[in-house]
Amino acid sequence: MSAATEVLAGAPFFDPFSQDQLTLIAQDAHTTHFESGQTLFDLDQGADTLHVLVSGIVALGFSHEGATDTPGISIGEQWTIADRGRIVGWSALVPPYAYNATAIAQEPVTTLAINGVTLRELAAQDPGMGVLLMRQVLTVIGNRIRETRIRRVAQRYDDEVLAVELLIEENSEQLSVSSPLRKLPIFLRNRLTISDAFDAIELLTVHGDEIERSLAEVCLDLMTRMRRELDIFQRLQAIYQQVAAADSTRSPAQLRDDCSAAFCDLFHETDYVIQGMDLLPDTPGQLFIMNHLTNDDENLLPNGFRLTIDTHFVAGMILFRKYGQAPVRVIRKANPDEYAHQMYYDRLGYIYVYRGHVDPVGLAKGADERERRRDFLLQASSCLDLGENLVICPEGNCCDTEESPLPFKAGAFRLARFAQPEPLVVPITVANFDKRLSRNRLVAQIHKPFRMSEVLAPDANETELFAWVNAFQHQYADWVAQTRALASRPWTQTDFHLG
Amino acid sequence: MVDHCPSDQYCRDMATGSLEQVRQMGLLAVLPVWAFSELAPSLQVKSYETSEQMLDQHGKATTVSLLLAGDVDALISFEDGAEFIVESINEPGALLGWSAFRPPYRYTASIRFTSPGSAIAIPAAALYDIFARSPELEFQVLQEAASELAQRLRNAQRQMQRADTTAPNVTAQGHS
Repeated sequence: MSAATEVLAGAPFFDPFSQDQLTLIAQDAHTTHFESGQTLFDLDQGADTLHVLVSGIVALGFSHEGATDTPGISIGEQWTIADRGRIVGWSALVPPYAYNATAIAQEPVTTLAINGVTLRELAAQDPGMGVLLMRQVLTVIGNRIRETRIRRVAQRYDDEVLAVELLIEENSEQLSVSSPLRKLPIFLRNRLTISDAFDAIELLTVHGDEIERSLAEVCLDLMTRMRRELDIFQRLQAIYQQVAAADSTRSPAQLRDDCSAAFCDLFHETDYVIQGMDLLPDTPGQLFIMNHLTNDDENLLPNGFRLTIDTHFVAGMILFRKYGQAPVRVIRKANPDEYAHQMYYDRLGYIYVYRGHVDPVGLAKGADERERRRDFLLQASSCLDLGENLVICPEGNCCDTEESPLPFKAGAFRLARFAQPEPLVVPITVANFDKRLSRNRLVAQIHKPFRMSEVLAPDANETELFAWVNAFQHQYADWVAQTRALASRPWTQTDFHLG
Repeated sequence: MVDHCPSDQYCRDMATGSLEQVRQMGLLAVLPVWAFSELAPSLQVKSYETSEQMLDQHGKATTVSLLLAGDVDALISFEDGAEFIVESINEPGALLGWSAFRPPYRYTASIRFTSPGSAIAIPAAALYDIFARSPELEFQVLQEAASELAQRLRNAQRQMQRADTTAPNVTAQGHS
């Protein structure tokens, strides 16, 4: 048996063909190699070759856009074919013989390339063989149609789990009753067992039967974003452990840096935009204010704790990258039942306040308000004086992007007036950090810094301070609206100040 | 739904020439006279009202149909009763119920009329009887079906592409 015949004999598509028929087909077939990024064929190009995949991964895209030899370039919505023996380029057998997709090697690929014209001639000479070919092609196209429909369901409802359920249900009759694929919908419903789902699928792509391998590949394609989400979730778990279980010899400043570096690695895997890096002051020791967004449920750790994504983004991707040191944040003191919260923040050396008040907790909760305020001002201004950056969310609470910002408390601005030397106040607005990280563009905008002495007279009283804070909150709300708009706008690199 | 007696219809249509029109539609256009004549008595022209269902998702695919007139939606149903339209079809001659050509011979979607219309039902068994006598014909019919489905697949992929690129958040590499 020739090498080509052996490849054909191992390809599910050619299962129904006799040895003689395979030998005939193999006569005009040859092995071809494609480097990573190389195009096998282009959408709408005349279809003259049917490929049988021998090794590697082929990405199929359905757009002309970017159909080049450049690895990683967009060819639109992509499907991958990674299973040895799968066929690529069935259009070579179907009028009008024009490829239905662009196929690009995602890694080095080897195929057995069969001359489509020869195949069509063989089919004309031997209608029995022609019928076998067409039955197989119809099965492939039918499967593709079903997969496309299921992908549309996933796209429409933004719900891959629903799509996987539908896929399993659609193929239930053909699937072994003991197939591990049947467990997928259950695994996928719980964040902690999603990795088990991926493990099961990856095993099946190698060791499954034909239908399992085929479905496992579709599942992997459908679950591309879920894999990214799983990766993000596992990184969040790791970051929490890195901080909460850190060796006692690590200082809070070191841990803040470790944490910011880990978050930078995480955010590099997301779709994010930062505008205004060039507006950042040259030296640290400044006060950064930002709106604070809720956390998506997907980020809930098994201990019930949610790492705040927006503040870690600003701390890591903006301030740590600019100044080489992670900032100190002013955060609310954990409630007595929030043990996981304490375990994490206690190690980072942040300044604690009671929710809604910029008051320190070094004093008893019942202490005089002025005394508590003064203690906070001294503690925070001391940080600034030491050249630490401070991050404060002046809303004292969090909300969704669409509702942001909430009314401001005055404490952050009181601090900016109190501290000597007077720090710059650097407004930063953020959007979309309350949504799924893998499905939304995260945006942060840095606005022009100012000093409180430039906007409010040094002798202004509390009433005048409140009036200014309220007016500033309106200005800030406009900035948040701009940031939201940036999240949904097509963008180019020239739009942004590159950091 | 109104079923027309196939044999009477066949006679009437032969007289009026409308059967000749049917013969030019979709898959049937591939058939030579002898094959069409053998098949004709099995054909059923069925009329449908708006909202009437022609095929049921998961049902045994025993009939291949061609749309004669009207508009249909292909729908996928979920366990909770929700439905999702995966395709809208109004092309006369469009192939409906193509699952009769491929294992596991179960319809992959429901077909429902969204306007008054009609379709011609071809029992798969009658087609396979003819195929058994002429592999050439089976090849041609299956190739015709493959060609039409390939086009429909392409349309579905384009639809998906459009939906993807018009989504509120387009995917791009992070930049700062």
